[in-house]
Amino acid sequence: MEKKTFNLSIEVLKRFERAGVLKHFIIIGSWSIYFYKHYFNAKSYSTFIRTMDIDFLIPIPSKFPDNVRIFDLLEDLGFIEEYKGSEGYMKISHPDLTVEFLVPERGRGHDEPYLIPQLSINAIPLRYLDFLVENTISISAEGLRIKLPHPAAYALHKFIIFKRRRNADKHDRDIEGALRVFQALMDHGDAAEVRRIFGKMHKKWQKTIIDNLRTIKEEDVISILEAR
Amino acid sequence: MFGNRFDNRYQTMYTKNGYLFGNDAEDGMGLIKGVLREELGNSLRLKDSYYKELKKRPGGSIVEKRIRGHKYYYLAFRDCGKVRFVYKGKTLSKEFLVEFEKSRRLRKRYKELVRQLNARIKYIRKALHGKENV
Repeated sequence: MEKKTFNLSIEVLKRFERAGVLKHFIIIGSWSIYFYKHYFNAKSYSTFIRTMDIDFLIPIPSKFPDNVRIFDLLEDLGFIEEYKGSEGYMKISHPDLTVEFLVPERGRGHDEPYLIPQLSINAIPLRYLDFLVENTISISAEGLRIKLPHPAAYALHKFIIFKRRRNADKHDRDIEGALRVFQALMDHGDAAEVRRIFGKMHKKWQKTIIDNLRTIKEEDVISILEAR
Repeated sequence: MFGNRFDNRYQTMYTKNGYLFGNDAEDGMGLIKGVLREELGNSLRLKDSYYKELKKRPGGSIVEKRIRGHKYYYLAFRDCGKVRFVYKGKTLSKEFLVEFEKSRRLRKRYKELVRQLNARIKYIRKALHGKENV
């Protein structure tokens, strides 16, 4: 990752913390892989990520103490508001970084963005994100307290969704990231925790994971998940 | 080590330092070109958005004119090569000045970022097609 993207991301996080909203957000996506170095504390863990997006998962319903206009926090850095697609999903863009917000999708699901008026933003509803909300960790990094999905939840979530990706690059990155985190979990001695989180999942989701892993011939991962 | 048995097109293997793009050089190049094309599209779209923002925000500067001992304020800016003056009043409100200053700073920042984007677009086009126009 380029240094200017890193510095800009940290500045965004600092501004969110000062405004009192960071504690309500869970950082998901590739950035979690970077921040897991504070969880694994292992030299062998590679923090390499190739991304210019930072995704914030917002649990719903969320209560924010004050109304904060998120865009106002970032405008002077050169960010602009953009709305993508006919649905009008909002993203806050800069040449070095794109900030997006996501919420768990519930029920039948629909294409409309989820409005969060207290923050003057809309968020993209996506399937399976409740699973990440239910399994989080907090780490201290760059002088900030950051909430992330538990690495096991991160890897298992990616094992579910990689097959849903239409973009081949994202599909491959999902697999690579999930396997890298899974390897680090094993090196960290977290096999039991991985199995516990896997065991708590809906049976249908467990089956999807096993089937998906079979398509990429990751039998070793399957045997770890299915061990009793 | 997990992830050593990706088959056919899932060739994105990894090392501690980053990606190794597959066993098949063509697959790897295709993937890299795909990423570059996506980045080119994003950069062009973002540049367009910055131009729209620049249009929304007034440029120029505030000029004070003294006419028969009275002060009058004008917004001076270039329009098709000519300098134009638009009358703003005998006094300027604090809100107007704050908003104008904010606009001025943002315009400067946006222009800087458009320059960065132009350099990136040029670089990606070169990487994708050499001297060919995309």
